[in-house]
Formats: sequence, C-alpha cells, structure tokens
Amino acid sequence: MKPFPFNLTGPDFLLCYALFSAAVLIIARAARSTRELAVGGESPRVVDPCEIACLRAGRDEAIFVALMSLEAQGLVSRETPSKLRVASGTAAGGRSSLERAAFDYVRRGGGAAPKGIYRDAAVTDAADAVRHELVERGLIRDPWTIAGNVGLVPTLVALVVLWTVALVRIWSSGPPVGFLCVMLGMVTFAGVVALANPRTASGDAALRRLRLSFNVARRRVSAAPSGSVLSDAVLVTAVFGLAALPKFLRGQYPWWQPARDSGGGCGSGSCGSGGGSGCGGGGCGGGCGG
Amino acid sequence: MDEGARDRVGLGWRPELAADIHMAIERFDVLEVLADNWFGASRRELSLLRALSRDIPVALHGVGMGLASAARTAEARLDAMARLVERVAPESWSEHLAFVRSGDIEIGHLCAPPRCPETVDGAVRNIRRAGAVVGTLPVLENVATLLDPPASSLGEPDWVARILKAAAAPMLLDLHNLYANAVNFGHDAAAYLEAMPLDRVTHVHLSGGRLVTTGDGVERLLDDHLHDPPDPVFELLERLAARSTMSLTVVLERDGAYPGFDVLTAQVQRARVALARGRAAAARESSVRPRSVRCAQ
Repeated sequence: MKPFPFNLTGPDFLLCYALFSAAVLIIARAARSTRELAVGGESPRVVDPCEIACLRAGRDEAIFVALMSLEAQGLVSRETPSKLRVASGTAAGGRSSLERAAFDYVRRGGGAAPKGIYRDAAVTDAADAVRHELVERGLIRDPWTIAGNVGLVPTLVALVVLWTVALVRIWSSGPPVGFLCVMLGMVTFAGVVALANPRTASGDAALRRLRLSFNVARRRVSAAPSGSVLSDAVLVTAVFGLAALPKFLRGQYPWWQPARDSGGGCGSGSCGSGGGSGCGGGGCGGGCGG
Repeated sequence: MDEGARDRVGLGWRPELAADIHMAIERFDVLEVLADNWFGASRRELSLLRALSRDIPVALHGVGMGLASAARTAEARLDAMARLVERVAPESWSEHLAFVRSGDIEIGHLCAPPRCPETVDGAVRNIRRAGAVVGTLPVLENVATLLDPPASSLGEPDWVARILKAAAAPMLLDLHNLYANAVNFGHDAAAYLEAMPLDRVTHVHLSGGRLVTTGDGVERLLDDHLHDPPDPVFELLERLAARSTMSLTVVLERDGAYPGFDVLTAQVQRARVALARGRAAAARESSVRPRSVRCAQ
C-alpha cells in the first residue's frame, strides 16, 4: 500500500498538495515578517522625500524626487520645458547627499539631458547610499543578498524538489500529471511573488503609515485647480507616485521621469491605492463648546 | 510643582494635519486624537494610531458619551472606547462634562446640563461606570455654553468641583471654554479660573472661537475651534501655571480653517512660553513665601 499522500487519487491528491504548499508558504512568510518587524520596527517613521521614494519604488524614483525637490526649492529651474539649469548665483544646493549630487549633475551641464541623470555615476552612487541606508534600517531587502530571503528561498526550493519527486513517482506509475504540472507552476509563481516585494514587513508598515498620514494631502493635491502652487507636491509624489499629482502638473515631468522597472522597487510609480479611507473629519467644532 | 514632573505641549491630531505632523512630530510632546472618529476604523487604519503612540504619547479625546447626564451612558459607547484604548494604548483618555442626547434624540453638540445635585449624581455614576469598563478614569473637560442652563442651583465651578471630587477624577480645563463662559455670562475670567478646582487640573485645552448673535439678539462668544486662541487664553494659561502645582499637558485644538502649519507650531511655542512664565512667577513667589507643594498624580 502506498504511503499517504501517494495513496490519494485525482482531485484529493491535488487538493492535499495545494493545501500543503499554501501552508508552507504562509508559515514561512509569517516567520519572515516577524523577524523583519523585530529588526526594522513595527511602523518606523521615514521623513526624507528621497528615502520615501526609494522605499516605495526604488533607486531611480529617489533620483526623480530629488530633481523635483530641487526645483521646488528654486535651486534648479527650467531653461526650456525639457532642459534644466541651476538657479543663477547658486553654487551648491540640496538638503541631502542625493539632492546635492543631482544639483551637481545639472550644474555640470546635465540639465540638457535630464534622463542621463539615472546613469550618472555620482548620482547613482548617492542613490545607492539612500537604498543602502534603508537596507541598514531593515526597511528594504538587498536584492543581491540571499540572506534577505532566508527561510523563503529554501522553502521554495524544497517545495519544487518535493513536487518534482512527486511528479516523477506519479509519472512512473502511469496516471496523468498535467494538473500536477499546472499546480507546480502556480506554487512556483506564488513563491516568486512572495519574494518579489523589495520591502520588508517593516518597510511595508512604514509605507502604509506614510500613505495613511498623507491621504488627505493626496486628495487635496489631486483636486488642485490648474496653475496652483503646491507646496507638498514633492512629498505626495514621493509617497504615492507621480500619478497622484493633478494632470496639469503631471504633464511637466515625462521627459525627466525614470524608465519603469527602476530596479529594486515595486515597479510602478503609482503603486498602491493610497491610504485608508480617512478616519473622519474634525471633532466637536461647529459650536459644540467642547 | 514636583521637580520630577514637567509640563508638555502638543496638538490635536486631525487627518488634515497628519502629513505635517508626520514630518515634524518632534515639535510636540503629545498628540490628542478624537476617539469617536476611530471607533469603526479598520485594523489598517488603526495601525496609524498605534504607530503614533509608539513615537509620542497619545491621548484619546471622546465627544459622544454624554457623561454629565442623569441618564446612564450607553454601554456600547463605553465598550467602543474600551476597545480603542486596548488597541491604541494611549496614555490617557478624556471626555466632556456634557450631555449630547436625550432619549433617542442626538443633539449633535456638547450641551451643558442643569447644574444641580441630580446631574452631579448622574455624572459621578456615569464616570465611575466608564472607568470600570475602560479600565481607567477619564479626564473630564468643562464645556462652553451659549445659554445658562435652566434649573441650575449650582454655579459652574462648584458643580464641576463636586463631580470631580466625588468621582476622584482629574480635570481637563479648556481655557477657551472657561473664557467663553466668563465673557458670555459676565464673570471675570481670572476669578472664574481661580474658582475652578485647579488642584485636579492635569490637562489643558487651548482653542479659539468667534462672536455670534443668538436668536434673541444677544452676542455670545462661540467656541468653534476654527480660530486662533485669543490673547486672554494664553494669559489664563500663564495664570494657571503660576497657580497649579501639577504638571500640565496642554493641547492646542483646531478643527478646521487651518492656518499654515508654522502658525500652529508658533501657537504651541507660545503656550510653552506662557507655561514657563507662569512657573517662573510661582517660583519667585515661593522663594519669597514658601508654600506647600503637591506631587503630580
């Protein structure tokens, strides 16, 4: 008699392995989250716009927000709609290392080709330093370090091996294995999706906190009439992506936005639907005397 | 004041101010959150409150219990506050000495009840029940009123003092509410302050309002939380700091018509200065004439 679960047939067999695979992935992911929250904190506060952008969508988004911030501070301006220059009389500028590197890039003549900033060595080094800082704080995983995926990769490998053994045994016994192959593909895909998030559990918590905190600011910015001067546009962009800006403002940036899939990010400048639904308006105003 | 205690100043957290507060949380010692807005919040939304309470002391401020009433406060409201307190772990929670409903009729405002022994007894009963359900007693706030509650046999300071003493509860003294009641009913604000049970005051609110004309043509100061605190409120804060031996937690309230965030933080700073001046005045006086000092509770 074949041992359990090889004594199961057809749909029962598939169901058993589906449940087993799901349980292993869920437990491994939960264990990893617990470990990461202990390292990075349950809801850390991130306040630098470039760090926020890097946390949300990677290194190139951090560079993009650095350029936006320089423009908002009046340190760079547009000579033409697609060409930047430093403000006259300004020798250096920027509130962070990345902003200063971006400013220097424009000052050296890079403003004529803004998209080249994403390949400039000094700027990318500064952006990598931003990303490294987030790795050190336990908010994002270093994609090149397998240690960041301890627990999940071995689990996935074990699952694939288990499935392969199961398939070979079943193939040698004769029954059809088409659905098993599909199941193997789905489990592998689920494992890859679980691995694909560059943020740790702490990083997700930090971004969630930002989105909840900036929810009202986002709605205010999105609804701003054409021509408005928006003091918090940089931060809203850092938290939610360029799609959060009103149309009249979004249209000013395509020629200096990074290409999508900027490496290490979630792959979208506008990922996420924003924060919570908003937790109510004011309190006892309107004459209640409280 | 106990040398180990210290005064703190903070801001009322509102969704409209959340982004600015996130970026500049170090400017405040405490944040106060309107509890009723969070009773139905999802776990995800509550994660924001929990995150705040890890970074800075958070106080919950309720508006819907209607504790100062001969009628019993609904258990469901107490349970809601208890659940929120358990999830957020604030350092304190507060409510008003007011009624907000009668039977099934929701008034929609904080109303001053008749100040009489019956409402004292009712308030004390409700406060004790609230403390038992939530786990800690609330800090109790005085309210402003546009009309002198009819059928009142007690003055406001006496009524408040009786409730707080019988319930053994601390007080949240809203200085603009006090000022508004003084202006509206012909009292001297400083004397009105002195008449309050200052030995029970641990928390303070600062806010603003505007003059309105009531239906019978009388002009009244309305506490609407939509304006800057007027100068007399800061003067009252300084006077309170000079008189009080307790450490004080002061919160600036603003519910709308928000000025720039720098304006709000400047008002917070002004409160710090008023507290410091009051404490300095008390220290000068005690160096001339020693007085008894009560430790902060």
